[in-house]
Amino acid sequence: MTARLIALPARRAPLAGHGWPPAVILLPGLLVGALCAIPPVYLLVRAGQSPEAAWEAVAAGSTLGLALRTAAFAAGATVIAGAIALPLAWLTTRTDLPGRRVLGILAALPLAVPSYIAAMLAVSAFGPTGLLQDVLAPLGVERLPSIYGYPGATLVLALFTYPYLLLTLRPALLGLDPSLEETSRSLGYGRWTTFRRVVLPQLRPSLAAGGLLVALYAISDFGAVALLRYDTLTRALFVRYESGFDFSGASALALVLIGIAFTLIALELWARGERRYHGIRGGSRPASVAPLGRWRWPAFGLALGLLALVLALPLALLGFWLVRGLAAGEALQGVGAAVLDSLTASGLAALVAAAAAIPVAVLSARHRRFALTQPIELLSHSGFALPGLVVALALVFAALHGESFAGGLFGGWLYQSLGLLVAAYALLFLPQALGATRASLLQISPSMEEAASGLGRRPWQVLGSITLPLASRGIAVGMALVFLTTMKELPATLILSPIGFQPLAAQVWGAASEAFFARAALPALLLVVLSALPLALLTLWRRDA
Amino acid sequence: MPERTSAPAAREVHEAPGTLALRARGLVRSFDGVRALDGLDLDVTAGELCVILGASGSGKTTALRLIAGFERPDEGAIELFGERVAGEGASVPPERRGVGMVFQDYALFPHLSVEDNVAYGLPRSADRAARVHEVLELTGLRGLGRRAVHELSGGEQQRTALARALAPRPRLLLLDEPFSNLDPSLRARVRGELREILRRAGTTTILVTHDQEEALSIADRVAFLWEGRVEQYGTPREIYLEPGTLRVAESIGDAMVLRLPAAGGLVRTPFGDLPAPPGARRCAVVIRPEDVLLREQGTPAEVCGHEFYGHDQMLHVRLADGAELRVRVGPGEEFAGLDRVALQLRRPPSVFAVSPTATV
Repeated sequence: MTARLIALPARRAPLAGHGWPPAVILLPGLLVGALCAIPPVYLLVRAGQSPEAAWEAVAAGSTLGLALRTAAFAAGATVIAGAIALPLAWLTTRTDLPGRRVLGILAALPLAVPSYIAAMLAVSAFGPTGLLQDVLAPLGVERLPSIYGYPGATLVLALFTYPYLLLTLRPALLGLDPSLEETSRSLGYGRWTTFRRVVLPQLRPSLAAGGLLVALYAISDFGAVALLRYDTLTRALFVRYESGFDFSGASALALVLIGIAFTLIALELWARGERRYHGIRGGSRPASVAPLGRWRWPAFGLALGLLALVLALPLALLGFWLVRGLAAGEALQGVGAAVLDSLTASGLAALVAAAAAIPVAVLSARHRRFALTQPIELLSHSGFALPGLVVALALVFAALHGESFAGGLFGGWLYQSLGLLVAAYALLFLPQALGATRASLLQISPSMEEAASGLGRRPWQVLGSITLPLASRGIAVGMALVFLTTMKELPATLILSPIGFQPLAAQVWGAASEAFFARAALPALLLVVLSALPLALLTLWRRDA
Repeated sequence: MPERTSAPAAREVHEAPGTLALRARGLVRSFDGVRALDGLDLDVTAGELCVILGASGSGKTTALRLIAGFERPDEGAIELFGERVAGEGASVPPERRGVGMVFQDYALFPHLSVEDNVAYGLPRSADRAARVHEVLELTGLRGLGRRAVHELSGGEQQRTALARALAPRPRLLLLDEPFSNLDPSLRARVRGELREILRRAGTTTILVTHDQEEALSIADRVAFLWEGRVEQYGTPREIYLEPGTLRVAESIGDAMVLRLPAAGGLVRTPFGDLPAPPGARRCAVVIRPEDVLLREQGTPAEVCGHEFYGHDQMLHVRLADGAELRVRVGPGEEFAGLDRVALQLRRPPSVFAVSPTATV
């Protein structure tokens, strides 16, 4: 049963038919699009310069194996994350689960734990010489099941990325029109059949969108797969970079990785389906609440158990290693500077990304029919598809290339500069700022802006006095998202940080990759706390909106 | 606006009455291949209130948006007070047209107070506050200036939108379905208030609506829009009493249509022969229920039903040829036991030629 739902005609965007967007929007938009085009264009050009070497790298048996392992990793992580997020989203939105509001907010917080910290803690606790082994050894347990390889890496990644799915599923579940489910029930279908045939199909777009986020995270993840010793394309690429290598081959590998990313995006578009669900006026009534009956407390226990595993245990482990490190006289110096470096980089990235998002979001929300809108939008989303490592490498080599090409004028001050690092962050996380800004623009009636221009204001005045103030919340949400993700970002941070600049992520990695867990504990704890703050704010904001 | 005498001195007429405020010629505008406007012509005289009346999809809002400058015509041209603003190379942006617009959803800026909304279109100058005060006074919003817009009632929101549009003294004011967001019980009163505010402001106004009662009661002139063109343009009286086409006659007011053959320049109706349009072989004769009178003598008819509405009642009758008519009569008449009546017409009905193959 695929009920075709009626879509209301969309409100036409103003000045959308003919004509050009005002210069105050168009010129910055073009600039953003052009800057975002640098990494993919550079990679293509480099791979094209020596096609034989590039083809050799792509066609090598090892590359195919790596690609398959990467795809399997992404698929496994996404399925497990979905299996966690879907019941959890339903329990915290549509049932009488005790404390479901608080649980819903807490369940999003594992997003503040970057995968490399999660992996480090997993190794320190469940690895061959880990804490659990130490505890169990007197009991005669010789060997725990290995944490390394596919099962461990997939599970760890899923446990700390399921919030992406949770965050897209929860609003969808809350916004469903309850009368659709009531109709199904009145037609004689039970709760489970109704969920499967009415609710689940409507969740398809959210499942696809959240699943895509998890899968893209998986293919671009570097820290967790390195610590848990599972070879993916990203890890191979990093190893090649560190051991000094020819760039043509590397850009070929990067292109394979990009190919996988685009396949995932295409899959998402396909899974989202042709049908439009949003035309329906939903949410006039709050969604109905299903009583769990005797399952109420067991479900609560399960949810609590999950939170213990992904929140309490990581924090406890970090505390444990911190105390052990302090007892062993581990030096704490350098952490203050690392916090400052992290805040500087993340703050700048949030500002730059938010500023870059505004013209693109206005084009997308208000000038859909303009010919350059879609290309600019597409390029602005390249950070979504391009793994951080790939963007970082492309920027490094583009900067070096530019240096040799234009002397010290261009590359000399760019390579190993804070500017390049911030540019990489902004490029990678622009899609997040864009999404939030665009969503809030779409909630502003275009007649608001038309009224302002009808009252004699020039386009830039309308932008400053009406559009931006009304969209300020979305812009702030976008900045918080960029801040949070930048804080956690690892590969670009490792490759692009200027000499002497060592944010928390780099410090954690430096210690964790050498298995100095105690030394990594304090910066890791600070990183998690600093990321959790904007995340908690965001979850609260989202609930208000 | 109660107890206020209409002193002509209070009017703010900016253009000499009689000049042409709007001249639109051959406006065409398509959206995704669908023609919203298909050759629209419209002249509006300065100082008048022109109502564009049309069903949804007739292109009336598109027409308004073209005049305001939010859309550009694919073809055709628009002149405001003799100045070309769109078409044939001209393209004056909305902020330079001096046209005020009140949107259907009012589009009040939620982050600004009532005052700041009204002041938005005024340049920063010494008399800005005075003008805001003046306009709030005019629109009956005195004392509400500091309110946030979400604290206003529907009618107050509408007047705020009107005040904001009037504040910069626009040459032309556009109103898009201004009453559609109001409670039906409020509409008649708000309509009267709006009419009075506009009369005192003296601003040339174009109002768009799908509600014919609204159009007829408020307009100086009505443009009836059909499929992107003006089907008839005239005073409310002309539109109702002398419809130019069968479509106008059928669309506006309660109309009964008898489709009858014509020959020799005459159409034979149950009420006698009427002149037919030249060359017509089949005609549509339009009769309104209030134009049918019950008389001692006249066309005989059989009573087949009756509904009592309070302010009037409707008698359903069948003529000898089987045609059914409705007769509107006052509430005092008593019809119990009555089964035959005689009918006469108050005035000659409108007759239109129709294609011979057209069926009822």
